[in-house]
Amino acid sequence: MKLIYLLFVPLFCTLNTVARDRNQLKSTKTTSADTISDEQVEYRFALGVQLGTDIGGAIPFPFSNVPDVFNPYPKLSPSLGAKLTFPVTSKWTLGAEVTYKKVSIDADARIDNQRFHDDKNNVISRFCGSAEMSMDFTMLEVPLYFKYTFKNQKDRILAGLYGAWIINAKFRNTVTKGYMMTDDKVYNGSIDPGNPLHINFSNILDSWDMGMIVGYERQLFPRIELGLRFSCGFKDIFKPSNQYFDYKMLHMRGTLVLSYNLFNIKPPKLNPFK
Amino acid sequence: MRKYYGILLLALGILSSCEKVSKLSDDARIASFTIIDQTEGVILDKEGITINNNVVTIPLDYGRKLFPLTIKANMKFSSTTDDVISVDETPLNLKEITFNDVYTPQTFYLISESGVPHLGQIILKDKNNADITNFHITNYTEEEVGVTIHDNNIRINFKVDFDWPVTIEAEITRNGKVKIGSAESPFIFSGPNDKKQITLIAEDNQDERVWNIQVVPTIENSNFESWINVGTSKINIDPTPGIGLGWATANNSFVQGTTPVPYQNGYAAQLQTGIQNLSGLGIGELITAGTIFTGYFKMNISALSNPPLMTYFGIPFIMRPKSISIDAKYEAGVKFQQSEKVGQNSYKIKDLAGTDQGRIWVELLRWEGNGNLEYHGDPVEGLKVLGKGEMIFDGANTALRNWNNHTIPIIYDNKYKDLEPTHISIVMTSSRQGDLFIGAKGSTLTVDNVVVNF
Repeated sequence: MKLIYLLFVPLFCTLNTVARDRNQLKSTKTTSADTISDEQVEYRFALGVQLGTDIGGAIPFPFSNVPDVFNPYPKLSPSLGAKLTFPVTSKWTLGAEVTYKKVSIDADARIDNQRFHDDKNNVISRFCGSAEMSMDFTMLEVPLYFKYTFKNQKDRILAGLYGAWIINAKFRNTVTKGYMMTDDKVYNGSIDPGNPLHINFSNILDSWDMGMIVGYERQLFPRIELGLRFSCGFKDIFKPSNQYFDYKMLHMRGTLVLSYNLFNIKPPKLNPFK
Repeated sequence: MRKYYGILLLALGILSSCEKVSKLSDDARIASFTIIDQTEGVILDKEGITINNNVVTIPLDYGRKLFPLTIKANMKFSSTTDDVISVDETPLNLKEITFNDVYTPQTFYLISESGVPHLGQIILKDKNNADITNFHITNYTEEEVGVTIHDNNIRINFKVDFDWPVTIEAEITRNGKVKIGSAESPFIFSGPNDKKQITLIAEDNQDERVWNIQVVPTIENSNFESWINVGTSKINIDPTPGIGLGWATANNSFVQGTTPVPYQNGYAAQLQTGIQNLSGLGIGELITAGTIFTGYFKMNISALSNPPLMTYFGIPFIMRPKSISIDAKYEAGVKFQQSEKVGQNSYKIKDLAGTDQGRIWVELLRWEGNGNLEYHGDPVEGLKVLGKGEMIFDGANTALRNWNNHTIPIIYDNKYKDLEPTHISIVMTSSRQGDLFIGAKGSTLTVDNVVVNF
């Protein structure tokens, strides 16, 4: 965790530099913009850092499988990352990011007739009752997206794909009350509230994910942008060899991100889109 | 910034419900029960219907011989009742309830909002107007023969050797008149399936009640000939004469460790240790011993990692036998292992030195506590172990691999020499330490012809 703070070092260094630059700019009364010019596209990479937080977790899909009584309790953790953008046209920008994030959520739910199917061990059960779950995914997320800038040069929307390496994943369930049924819905024993059933799915979670990302960004200050994103995984959180439910569980999360552009790298004669 | 964060929370709120799980009620109750219609001829005391602790009691006034009885009912439940489900594969229809006899209740589960199941019953309360209150055998002593009366069944157990046919002379204390054509003392029983019937006619309303008299083994189905759901994954020993009154196994939807195998033109019970992989449930691999015992088994998902909590040992029994004898053979599995706890609730298998052992143990119990006996093998307040016997089947002893008749003497505790038992617990297992998840996959104890010796 301490290593994460190292990511702040270049930010602080750059803040000093930027402050100094600004002073110089003010004194010379020039109006060089950090935004992309509407008339003339400057083909330059922009490198920035970003800080954010995610709300979400793994959600049953199709959504009809989300229990009627479902109470999520999101846990906020900071995410830290770096982004690289490159303007393609005056309105379109290509972006890539690397973000280290932790997405955690606790939830409780009243589950009705959830089927659990363990083919390998010939175990099929159905569960009805109350359960608590706790999910925690630490991941390195790499989104790749196109960004569209509106005429006011401040509002942008983005859409793209992401890949994620799940560094550490925990998914624990505690079944507190209820009963089990056989596959043909015959009562098969109760859960003793004084002795809840703990189910740990952590070992059967997959180590990677990919999906789509959409979002909206607003430039608050010349170098600072605030973004709101939604990402949805395409693949089940479980390993393909461990499919227990009749539905998938997909990573879904909303992200609030504050980014700061550190550098503009302008390689000479670079205009690959010309 | 707050606005954007609020949007995120709103999006999450779409998935969230207003109802809190913690606020869901654990309670589920039968609020009212009204009979709308019923089979003609049978007279029920509709004004006398009571509901107590989710048990609806309907007094029966007349019509025992007119069964089956079908009742159309209007049954209402508390607002905290989420569902009502059947206890078995029989579809539940509480709007039209059929009783095949007076003695068998309708049983179901009421499910609370939070999912907690509560047992519910509809029972018929028989009128005490055609009863046999005592069945005293006069041609054998109490040391030679015992009698139990349950519902409309009189069961005679011999404590000594006897030959078929057997003659029983009895003095019967009853109310009501004996219907012409009923069996009369002396009763001559030609075999174990021979059943004599006495029909009593109530003097107040002429209603009839049929009583069955049978000579049965001390513990019924002790030759393990009768099984239920044979050929399916729900195979189990027939618990005759009723659940909690005869033999039981720990077979469940996850494990079927006890199955019938051919022996002596019939069946024996084969108890086999296996490894149940419950990794998907996060429990891991569990060594599961096959078992057969007197009592009943109640599945409790929370107790998957503590199986003794699901086995309720002991059936009613009031005699002091000297020993039990049994046909048995035992062969231990190759790899002796233990499911070792590695987390809060998960297990991993490790190898152990040694050889697996089977075990048969018997205890004569006296229950002096309140309510029904709940005995899982550990000491219980109010329960006295009057006598016990045990036999260990050591897998290292290859002589045990062949069928043999073994006798297990019962040693009684002198300090309880004046007390009579109330229950007997006989437990057989393919792995002696199966309750600790110690055993060997493939260990097999095969048993048959359990005889209680007096």
